[in-house]
Amino acid sequence: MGNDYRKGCANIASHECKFSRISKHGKLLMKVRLQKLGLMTPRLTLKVIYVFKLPRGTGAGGVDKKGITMKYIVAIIQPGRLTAVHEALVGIGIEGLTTSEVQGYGRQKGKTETYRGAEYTVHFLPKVKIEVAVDAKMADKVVETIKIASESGKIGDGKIFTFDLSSATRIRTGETGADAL
Amino acid sequence: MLNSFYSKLSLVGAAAALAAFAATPAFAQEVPEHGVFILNSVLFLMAGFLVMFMACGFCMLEAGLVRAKNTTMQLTKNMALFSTAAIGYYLIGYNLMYPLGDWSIDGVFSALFPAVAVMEAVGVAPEAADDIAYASTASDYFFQLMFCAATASIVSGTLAERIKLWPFLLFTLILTAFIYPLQASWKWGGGFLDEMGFLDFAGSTVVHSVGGWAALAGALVLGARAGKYKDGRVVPMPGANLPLATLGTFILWLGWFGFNGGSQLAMGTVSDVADVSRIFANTNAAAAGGSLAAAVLTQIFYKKVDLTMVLNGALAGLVSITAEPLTPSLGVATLIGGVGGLIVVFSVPMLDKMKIDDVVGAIPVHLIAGIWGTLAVPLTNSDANFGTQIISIAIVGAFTFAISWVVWTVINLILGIRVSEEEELEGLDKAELGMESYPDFSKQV
Repeated sequence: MGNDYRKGCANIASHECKFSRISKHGKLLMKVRLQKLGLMTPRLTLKVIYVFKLPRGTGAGGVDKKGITMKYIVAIIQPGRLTAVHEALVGIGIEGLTTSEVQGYGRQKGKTETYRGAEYTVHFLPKVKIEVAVDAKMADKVVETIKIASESGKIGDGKIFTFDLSSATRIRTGETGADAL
Repeated sequence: MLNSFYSKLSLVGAAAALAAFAATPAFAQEVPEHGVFILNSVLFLMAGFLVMFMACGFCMLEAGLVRAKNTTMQLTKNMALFSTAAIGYYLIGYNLMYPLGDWSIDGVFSALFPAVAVMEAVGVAPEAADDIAYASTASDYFFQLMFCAATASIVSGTLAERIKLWPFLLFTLILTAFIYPLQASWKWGGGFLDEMGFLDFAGSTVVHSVGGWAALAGALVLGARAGKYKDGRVVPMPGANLPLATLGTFILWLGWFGFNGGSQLAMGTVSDVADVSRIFANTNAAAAGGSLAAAVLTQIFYKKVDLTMVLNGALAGLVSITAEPLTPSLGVATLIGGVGGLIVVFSVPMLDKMKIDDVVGAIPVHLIAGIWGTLAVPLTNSDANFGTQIISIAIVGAFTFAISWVVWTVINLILGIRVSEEEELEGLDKAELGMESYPDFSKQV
């Protein structure tokens, strides 16, 4: 049933569908607020209301009644391996990912460098964090792919973490769950 | 007719004139009337532009070697110190430095004190020029001012990241109006060091070591940056932007051709032009020697090349050749510069052991390599002797260090020269200026 709802609302033209999820009062409030800011055309207002309101309530989003269908994978890798990992993930059909530059340390506890003749320890080493949300069936394959593509065999190669993912929403269309990935 | 043509030439046009008479056989034998005046003035202007650009070099080098949170302040100090030098040198510096034989204390203190610098009249006629056999007064003033400003630039790098802006500028004013010109008059103004036979072509001692001594005195009064020396260890604080530091070093390298080449002070004869050319080539060779020596030595000692030392090495090579850029052969110039690079690699950690915190390495580069360069003069120039060089280095050093130390101490007692520890941790950009260099970039400590 939830699935039907998502599909029905995938088309932004079917406004009624979204309105049905929001109380009249909430709709009005949101509209007034946004229009006061001078940001809103009526059409845009509808979209924003939809996005703001949807995550509320347990029914919305990608939780399947049968259980977890999505996984969220976070990998901390050597910055120089990003290109290889990206290409490998594209190769197995991953459609999108997020990266950020981060700093941290593991068992290695940073490393020693010399600057102008004085030794010092860099406590937080630069790494790249990759975040990718995937269908649960794909998770093992993604983890394995990242592992192979980012491995140099040396200390400091990083780690991969996998989380259960309870919800996903594509902001533009309102699709939720695995369809939003 | 040609004579009147030359006398009407503007200074800027003189380079074209040089090409014109060089190409005409009739003028190949001698420089036409006023040609010496014109060509010397052109040398001063051209070299002055180059030395002026060294202010940019120092600024970029320092901006690259401080941490990001102090970048705006370092840029501000460099801009302000250059401007302060221009005022100080105008007000009393120039006439204090060049008494033209008019001493109130013979060979020690100019009688033209306090007196502002005065240029020749607008459209001055050849008969009315201050010294028709030399160069226009304004070109000489412009050129010498840039040396004075370079001295002040040396100080700012050492004291970076912890000194307050205004007390620093007050010291800069005293340095550029009084300390630098006074000791420079002893040599370049025809004072007692010059009489003794001291040789310092473009200022390894007169400019660079003076900047270094003033910086050393300041560093001692000011103290090290917070957290720099902890539990008997040195805590490095890597510079934020090595591309800028490298750009700055290359700009300094370029500017040095004007610094040393212009110090020939003459371009009106074949031998002068040939000498200026020799100086350019030797200056370049010494920088190359210094940077390569530093690269090789850091590879040997630390297993990796340290770019900041290579940059310092190039500058130390330049400072080393500054006392005598004319007489060495290219090979000897390279070696003299190479020793400069070696000095940097050894003296940077040595200063750290003594807990003297020199952010950009100005003391090794300008003071210690400056002393080396001055001592190296007798190696290739038989007019110099070690005894006179050593005595002169000691006199200039003792005077500059002592008076700088007193001035720093007095300013510290009256105004306080150091920011609070909290402001230092926050960074001078936010604390003193409220303006960051890269507000759009995320920051790491």
